[in-house]
Amino acid sequence: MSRLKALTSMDLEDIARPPVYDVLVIVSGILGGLYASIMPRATAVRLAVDVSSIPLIIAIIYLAVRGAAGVASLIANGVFQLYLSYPISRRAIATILVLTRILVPSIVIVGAPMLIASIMQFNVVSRDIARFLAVFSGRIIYLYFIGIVFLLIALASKRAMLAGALSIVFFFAYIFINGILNMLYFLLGNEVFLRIAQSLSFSDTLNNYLIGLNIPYWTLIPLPVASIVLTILLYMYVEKRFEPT
Amino acid sequence: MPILEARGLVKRFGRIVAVNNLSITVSEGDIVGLIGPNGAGKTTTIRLCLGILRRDRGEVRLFGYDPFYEPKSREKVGVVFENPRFPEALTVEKMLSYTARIYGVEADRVREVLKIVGLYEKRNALIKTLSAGQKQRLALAHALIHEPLLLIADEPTSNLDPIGRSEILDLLSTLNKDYGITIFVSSHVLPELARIVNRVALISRGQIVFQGTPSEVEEALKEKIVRIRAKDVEDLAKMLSEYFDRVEVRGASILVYTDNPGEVYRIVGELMVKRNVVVYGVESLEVQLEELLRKYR
Repeated sequence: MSRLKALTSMDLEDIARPPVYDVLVIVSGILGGLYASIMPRATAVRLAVDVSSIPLIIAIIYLAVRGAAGVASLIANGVFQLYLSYPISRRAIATILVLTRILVPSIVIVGAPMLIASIMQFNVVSRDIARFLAVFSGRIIYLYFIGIVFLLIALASKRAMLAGALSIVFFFAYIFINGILNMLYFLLGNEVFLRIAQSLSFSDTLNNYLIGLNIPYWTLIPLPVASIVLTILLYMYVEKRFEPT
Repeated sequence: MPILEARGLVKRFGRIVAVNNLSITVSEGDIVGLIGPNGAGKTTTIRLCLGILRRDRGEVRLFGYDPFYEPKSREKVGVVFENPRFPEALTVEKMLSYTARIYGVEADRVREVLKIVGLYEKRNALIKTLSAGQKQRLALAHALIHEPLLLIADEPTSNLDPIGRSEILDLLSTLNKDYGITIFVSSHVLPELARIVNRVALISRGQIVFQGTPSEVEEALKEKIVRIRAKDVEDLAKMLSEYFDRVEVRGASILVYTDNPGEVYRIVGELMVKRNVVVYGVESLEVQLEELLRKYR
């Protein structure tokens, strides 16, 4: 466990180097603070949704640029093989990547403005902390899904530019498919298209569900399940197949 | 007792066979040199032995464990990679502190090891500001921090000037003699490694083609090649093969492998006189790694 902690800290310190990480965190924090003070909201869910919208986009960009491209750089420049030369299992190294390249940045980038907003409008948030945290969790689950796809792309492509570009392409394709599904629902009136689109945009669907819109709860299941399946795939790939060359 | 044992290793990258049925053993106390030209499969062999790459066939035992599946195998192994790279945003001391924590050694060891490799003055420098030689020293410090029983070094002298190369090799020799560390080191420069190792494995096209002691290599290096440029190389080669065991036609030249170059000069002189052979030039060459590999291939 101490080995895992030491390597996690080392990797985090390396990726948290100025200026990218801190600039992103500061920008999203300021945005959150401004949003909360300029446009106060009546409910905790509304506040959480509005404050975390722009940081969500910033986090996705970060996951592509620093997450996926960063991991591919690790492979290309030989640092990954250094990690593999330690007496640490491949499973643990996969866990470190998930933590340092997906979860910690996502939590920091989305969490910082939400924390500022919750302080500035404590009276609103304190009335419904559970739903405020549910919005936050929804954002993190959505980012985790995107991040795990980006990470798989990085491990498979092994080239920083390619990994970054493919990650961005994947994300826009994902948004595009979502748009097509919504359009098909609009044109054909078949509810299945709408529900699939809602499943894809998990975070927004969860927010609408929390606001009280009539959304079947099962639409919230596919993305977390897909995230679990992709995580299992990631671990299997790193443990059995991955080579840092 | 073997610390590292690889048997029948095969590694393919697509259609390219990088390592082909390779077997090697490193026993406690040895300094084994894996020597071969660029692209021979040295780095791939080392990565397979460390479990960094997945082997297609064969078996590796590092301290009795399979390094691909059992990280415990690497607990007592220090590694120096070719062109070593570290997280660039960290300082030298910070990097080694993290490494010390990974191996579960005391933080005091960081400064101790920095003094051993002569990098103590640079302890607060960012890794990205270090020169190639300093990075090589950092790699050694990094490999030694947990007092390993086995040090695996892949081309540790590459990118260094002659003085730097000599210093690193002397340090490896000291680590073996004074600290009892077993060393498995690769290089493409045979003579420099031959002076510190006690066993040599020559690798070519992914296969070990010769394993022996440095004195056996030295013996092979004593052999000279006499190169003869002549009008009709095929005919002259046929005549020379009556006198010498190894005569090869290489382009417009004939190569004669012998311990006694003077004899070649004498016989060529005789053939010029007695059989009117036209010779343009005769010269002696030192046997180099490539020639040695050809001999054992």
